[in-house]
Amino acid sequence: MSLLELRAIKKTYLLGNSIFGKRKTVEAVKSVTLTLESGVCLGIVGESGSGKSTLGKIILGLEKPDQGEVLFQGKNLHSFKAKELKELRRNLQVVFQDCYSAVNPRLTIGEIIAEPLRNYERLTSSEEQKQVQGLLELVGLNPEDMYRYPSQFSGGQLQRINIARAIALKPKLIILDEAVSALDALVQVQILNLLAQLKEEFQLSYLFISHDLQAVNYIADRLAVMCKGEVVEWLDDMGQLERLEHPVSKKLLSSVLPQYPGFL
Amino acid sequence: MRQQPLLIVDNLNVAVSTPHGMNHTVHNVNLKLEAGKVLGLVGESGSGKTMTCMSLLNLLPEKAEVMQGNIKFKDIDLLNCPTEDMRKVRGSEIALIMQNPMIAFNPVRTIERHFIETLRTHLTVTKRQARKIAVDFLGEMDLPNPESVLKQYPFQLSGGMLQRVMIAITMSLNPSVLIADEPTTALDATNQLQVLKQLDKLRKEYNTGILLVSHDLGVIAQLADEVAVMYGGYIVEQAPVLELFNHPKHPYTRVLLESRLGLTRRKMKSEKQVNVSRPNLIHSENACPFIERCGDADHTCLSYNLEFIEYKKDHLVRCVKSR
Repeated sequence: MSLLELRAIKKTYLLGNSIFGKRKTVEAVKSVTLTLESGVCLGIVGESGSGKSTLGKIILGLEKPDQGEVLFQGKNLHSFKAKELKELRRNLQVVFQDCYSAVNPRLTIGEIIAEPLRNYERLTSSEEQKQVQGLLELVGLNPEDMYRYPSQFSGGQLQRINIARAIALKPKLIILDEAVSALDALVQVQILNLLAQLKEEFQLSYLFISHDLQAVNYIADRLAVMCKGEVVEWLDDMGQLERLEHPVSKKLLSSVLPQYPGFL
Repeated sequence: MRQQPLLIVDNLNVAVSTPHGMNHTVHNVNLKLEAGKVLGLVGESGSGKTMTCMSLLNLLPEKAEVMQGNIKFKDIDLLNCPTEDMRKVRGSEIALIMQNPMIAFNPVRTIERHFIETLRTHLTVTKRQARKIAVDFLGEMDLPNPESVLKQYPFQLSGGMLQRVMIAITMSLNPSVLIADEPTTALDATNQLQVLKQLDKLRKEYNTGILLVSHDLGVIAQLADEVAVMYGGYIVEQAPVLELFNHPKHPYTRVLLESRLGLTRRKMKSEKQVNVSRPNLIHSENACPFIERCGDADHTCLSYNLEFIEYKKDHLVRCVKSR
């Protein structure tokens, strides 16, 4: 049984709110089928507007697909009641691109990371403190940071805090939606290294959504190229990027800037 | 014979007042920009890149002020320029492109109104003439269907298209200097490439001098003729682009170069020198700014006078170890 299975997922959004006539529609995702095995990092690349993020939201259960089903650990995510969904969701976490808006500015770092723990586990405050400090150390921050507030951290550090919160419950799958795109080049590499190390340590699976083929190449095991709501190409071995054939894949490949002077 | 530089920044120092005292964010920065050349400014967030750019245009935030230094553009002393004269320089002589095109436009005005307002502020043209210039420059930027783009509102265009509209507006006044502050950071990979190609075209066809600010060495590598690496408010290394990529001397430059991802098969990049913490900019005056994160730092770095060392002709380094 695969960890995650999507069957012919379709999602259409309505545009505008005109009283007369037919409303315009946008097919954000049309007929996507994919499977993700346990312990694998699947990279999804595509230009902006290709439906990558919508797909992520559907997997998280934040959006309901018009057609098709999402099987997480063999169970259909969208056929559950809210209460049953809670148990399933424990194994499903997310890290977004904008690390600033993903944290409540009025909570301390300790409270932010403890939130999923409080939702699912009954811990005494000393146990909770111990866990939070352990998580902070795991992502390369200082245990003392738990008493500070988000505004006191840089983007890279906040993204580490978001990752600490995502792994607090030892989930099976983490959706990384452009998780490193907003960071400086150097910090990107640090965060990617941290993600790779955590994946080994806790047997995590990632769905790594990005427009940046370089970052995907660095961390993913398999690759799906999306365009206009469809997966147009698959690659099972990331070592063979040159084998990509679809025009969209080629375009993405050719827009990666060479890391050495003299090209344009 | 070398060209006379368009823009000369001489010993620029900027400080921001904070509740904890004056925070010295830009230290002794010297830059020269020539016509038709691209000067790349690399550094992480908080390294002082944007502060440097903003002082060139006299647009520093209220709490920041230039402590010392000179900025000369052609024959104008920009720092002591009267406000009225400065307004004439901005846009028509020195133009600025910012990181996020979405917030640089007024959302309730069409592209056409932006264009006409900018053109008529600086030139004596009729609306009809302005419109024609707009169409020409949008076409020049390879935007499909310039006529219809003019009628649209900023939110109807994608980020990459908006950034190209932005470049078209700035270039319609034919400025001698363009400051591009992270022009492609907010765009996805395919749009990034297109915008870089447009910038390259500008420098070749209009002989514009471009100050290109970025944290991405890939972007810098494609366009810049000369590169200045900034760290903690100092320019720590400055060299022609090939020299910098082939013989990086400062440890920070080396860390930056090693962390490039590229498309080669992944291998774990070493992180030993790179500490997670951000540099605290309020620290001892004499110590090297990179001391906390440097793998080779020792006591000589504490009493460090921060003068440039000329490693080679045109290749300057601020590191005592490079001697």
